[in-house]
Amino acid sequence: MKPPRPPRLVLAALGAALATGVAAGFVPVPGIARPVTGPGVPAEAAGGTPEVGVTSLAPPSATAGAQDAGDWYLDITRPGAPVRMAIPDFRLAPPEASESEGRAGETDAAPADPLSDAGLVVAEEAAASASVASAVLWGDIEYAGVYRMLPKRFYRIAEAGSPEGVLDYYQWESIGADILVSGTLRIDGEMLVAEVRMHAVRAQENVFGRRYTAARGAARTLAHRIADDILQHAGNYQGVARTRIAFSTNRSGPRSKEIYLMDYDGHGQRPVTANGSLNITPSWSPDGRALSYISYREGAPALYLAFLYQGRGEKLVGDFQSFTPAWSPDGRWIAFTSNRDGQSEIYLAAVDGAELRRLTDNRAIDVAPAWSPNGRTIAFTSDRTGAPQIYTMDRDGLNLRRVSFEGSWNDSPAWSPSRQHSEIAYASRIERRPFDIVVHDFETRQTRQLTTGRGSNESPSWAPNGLHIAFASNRAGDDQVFTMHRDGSNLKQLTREGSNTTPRWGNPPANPR
Amino acid sequence: MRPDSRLLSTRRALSAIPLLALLSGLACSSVDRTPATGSDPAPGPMTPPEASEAGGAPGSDPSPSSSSGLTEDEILAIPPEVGSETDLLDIGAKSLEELNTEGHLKDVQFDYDSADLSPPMRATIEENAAWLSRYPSVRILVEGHCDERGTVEYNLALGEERARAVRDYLRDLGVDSGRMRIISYGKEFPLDPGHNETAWRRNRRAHLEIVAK
Repeated sequence: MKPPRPPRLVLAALGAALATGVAAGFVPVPGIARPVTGPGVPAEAAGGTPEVGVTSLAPPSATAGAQDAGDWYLDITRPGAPVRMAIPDFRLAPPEASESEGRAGETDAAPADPLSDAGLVVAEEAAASASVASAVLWGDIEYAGVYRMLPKRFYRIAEAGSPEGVLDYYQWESIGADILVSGTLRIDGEMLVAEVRMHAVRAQENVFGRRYTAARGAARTLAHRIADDILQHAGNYQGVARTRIAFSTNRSGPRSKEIYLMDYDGHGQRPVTANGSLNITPSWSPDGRALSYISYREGAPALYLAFLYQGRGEKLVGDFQSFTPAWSPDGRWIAFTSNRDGQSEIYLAAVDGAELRRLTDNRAIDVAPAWSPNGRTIAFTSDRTGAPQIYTMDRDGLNLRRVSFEGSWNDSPAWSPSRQHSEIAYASRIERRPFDIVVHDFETRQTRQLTTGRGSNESPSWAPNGLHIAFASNRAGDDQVFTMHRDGSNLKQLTREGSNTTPRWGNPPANPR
Repeated sequence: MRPDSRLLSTRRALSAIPLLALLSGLACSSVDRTPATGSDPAPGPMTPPEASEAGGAPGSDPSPSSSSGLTEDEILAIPPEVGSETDLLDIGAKSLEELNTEGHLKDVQFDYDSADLSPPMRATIEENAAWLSRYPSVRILVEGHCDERGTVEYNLALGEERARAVRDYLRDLGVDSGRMRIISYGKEFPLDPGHNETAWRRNRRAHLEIVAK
C-alpha cells in the first residue's frame, strides 16, 4: 500500500557523557538514621546496596548492535507529532540452566524444577517483579513527557499478527509505533535478570540490547536504570528515574522534623535523620552522596553534613545560628545564612571546615542562597529594600543585581541546572495572596507563573535535567511535596503523610560505594 | 500582677536611664525581702539576690541603695502592682515546666513581616524585664516565631530578627545579655495550628522560655 519509507535511523554522538554510575539504593547512616524495615519499605532501604549490572546483548542480526560502545542516540522524528513508543510488559523467561549451574555452591538451586513448591514460589515472585518493573519502566518514560505512549491494548493486535516468537516490524508499524521497547525478566539464583531491546520500528532495526542484573526485590531500581538508558539512547534525554528528593517532614512525632529521602516518584520514603529534634532545609552534594541540612539537635540551629554512603555525619558550623545551606556545584563549599556577626548574612564555609567567608554585609535580612550551575553566581533573598526580593551576586559577594521586581515577597530562589535554559525559579507573592512558583528567564527577562493560586506554593527545586520542578504546597491541607514539568503541567503529589516541606531534588548517586 | 504598661512606656520615652535604675532598684529591694517571707530558703538554684543584672558580673555586690537616686516623683510613678508585689514566687520549688506554663513571661506579638517593636510590644517587653529583674537567677531563651504565610527560608531569618529585637530591648532595659540566648524557629512550630487571621497573629511572636532558674 504505502511506498516504502527510507530508514530514518541516525546515530548521533552525545556531546558529554552522562553519569555512568550504577543505580543504588539508600544505605541508612549509623548515628544519623535508624535502619528502616517493614512493609512498604523497599529492600534497598533496609540495608543492601543493590547495584544494577549492565552488559551488552549480542545483536540479533549482523546489521545492528555495534553502537553500544560509546554514547549515541537515535534521531527519530515524527513531523508535527510526538514520537510514539510501545513498551509491552516484561515477559517471563525461564531461568537459564547454564547460568544457574554456575552457582554450584548454592543449595537453593532448586528452582530449576518449575513445578516444585519452591519453583512455584520463585515463579510467583518473578511474575510480581515483572509486573513492578513493567509499571515502573512505563511510568518513568511517560514522566519524561517526550514520547506518546501507545496504549497497551493495541499491542495484542501487533503480537497476534506476528508469527510465534518472531518480531514482525510491520505489525508494530501498523499500530503506529515508532520505537518498540521489549524485555524479558527472570529470577536466577539471588538475582533478577532483565534483557531489554529497543527497536527502531520503521528502520526495522534492533538498535539497543542490554542485560541488566540486580538483587531480587530490587525490581524498581532495575526498571529505573533501564528507563534512564532507554531515554538516553532513544533521544538524548537525561532521565530522572534514579534521582531522589530530600525533604523535611513532621511525620515521625510532634514538635520534631526529620530529613527524609524518596525516589523521584515518591516511592521509598525513608529517614536520613532520626534525632527527634528539628531538622530542616536539606541540600544535596553535587555527587548525590551527601546532604547538608540544619539541625536543632543541640539547641541552636547548626549546619550538619550527612554522608549517606559512609555512615557518617558531622557538624560543620556550630556556633551561632545557621540557616538554609546550599552545596556548591564543585562540591567544595556550603553557602548558608548565619547571625554570627549580628545580622542575617550569607557566608561560605569550606566543606572540609578550613575556611569561612562572609559575602554580605548590611542591616537587612540576607538568606536562602542558591548557586548558579557554573558556581560563579549566588542568588539569594534580601529585604534590603523593605520587602524580600531575589538578588544575585558573584561568589565573592560583588556585582549585586536585583532579579525580582514584581510581588511583595519573593523568596527561595533555585537556579535551573539546565544547559539550554538560563532561568531561576522562586516563590512569589502579590500583595498578601498565597505564594506561587514563578520562573524568571534571564535571556528574555520574562517571568512566567507556573502555579495559579491553589494553596501556597513554596520552595521550588529543579530536577537535575532542568525539566521538572519539585515544590511544597498546602493546596490539599497540610504542606505536601509535588512535582511538575517546567511549564507547570504534569502535576504529581508525592507525599501524603504529615506535613512535608523544602524538597530538594538531587543528582543520582555516582559510585555509591 | 499586671503593671500599667502605658505608664511604663511613657516613662521609658521620657527618660530611659532612671527607669533602668528604677527597675534594678526594685529588683534589689524586692529580692532582699525574700529571706524574711520565704518559708523555703531554696539554697540550690536560688543564686544570691545581689547578683542581679544591675551589678553585671556575678559576684559583684550592688547595694540596695542603688535606687537612692530616685526622686519622689519617680518612686510615685512605680506602678502599684509592681511596687506592691512583695511576695516573690518561690521559683526554687517550681519546675521549669511549671514556671513556663504559668505564663510569667508574656509573648511579644509582632506585625506581619516585621521585627519592629511598637509601643505596646515594648510595654510587654518592659513587663518581662521587670519580672526578670525580680528573679535574677532566671535564664531565658528568646524564641522567634513566624506565621505560616511567609516562606520557610525567609521566616527563619525573620524569626531570628524578632528574637534579636526582643533580646536587645531586654538588654537595654538592664537584663544581662548573659542570661539570654536567642533562637529562631521560623514557622516550624506554630503555637496555633489554625489557618486564619487569629492563628497568624498568635504565631507571629517572640516567646520567652525559662531555661534555668
